[in-house]
Amino acid sequence: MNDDTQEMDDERLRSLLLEARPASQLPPRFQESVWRRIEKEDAAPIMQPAPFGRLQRWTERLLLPRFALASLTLLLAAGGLTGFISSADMVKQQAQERYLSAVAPNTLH
Amino acid sequence: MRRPLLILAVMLLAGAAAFFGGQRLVAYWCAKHMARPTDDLDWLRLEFRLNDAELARVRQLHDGYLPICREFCERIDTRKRELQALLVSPTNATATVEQKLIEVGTVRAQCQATMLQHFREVSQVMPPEQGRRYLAEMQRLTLGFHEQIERTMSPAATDPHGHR
Repeated sequence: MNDDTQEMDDERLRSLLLEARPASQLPPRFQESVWRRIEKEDAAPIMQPAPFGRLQRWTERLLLPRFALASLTLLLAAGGLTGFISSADMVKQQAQERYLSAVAPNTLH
Repeated sequence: MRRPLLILAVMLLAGAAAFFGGQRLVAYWCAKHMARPTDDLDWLRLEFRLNDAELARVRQLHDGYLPICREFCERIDTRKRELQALLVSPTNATATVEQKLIEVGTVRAQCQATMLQHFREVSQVMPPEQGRRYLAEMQRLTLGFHEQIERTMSPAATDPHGHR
């Protein structure tokens, strides 16, 4: 019952569309050739992406604002952390040398 | 084909600039804000996390010890100069040189004993755990140097410089 109603609706819709915009004549065996092309596309092997294509996609992803910003923030934070660790060690080392030269100058020479 | 490589190069450069820029910036900040380059006791504050009251007590001991330390340094320097003069003198007698070496060693030993006593006193005004760590570290730093030299010269040493 539903199928009958739908077919009737399709018919009405088709006639309405034809009235609204008269289409030019389709070439012979148009539908068949469309299906053949679709089948051909489906059967075609999936092409492996070329190395540069993959690189391009990757760089394009890198250029996404949120990804670029996150990467730069991460690198900035990592740099800051290593800077803090190395600098704190250096500051302590210099301070230790100053203390030793004040309380035990003879042990340094 | 070159465009992705160019973008990648720019991204790498930007990343490196962010990393090293961050590193330099924080290092500069640390050097400016963490250290007190004019304070001899800054290391104790940084390494042993002393508060102001503990640092004030250490400073009092430190200020009391400095003139004694200076006096020992002068005495050692005087003995060393005398030893040097004896060594370059054409009439240097072995006995006199030996006597001077003993004098240098004796003053040095007295200096080290006083120094160790000072370290002990300082360690006692610190929180117990930090005090123990300070004392061990100072003994390692001030007495460890000679131990290292002596160890390399001992018969057990495998170094060719040792007396085998």
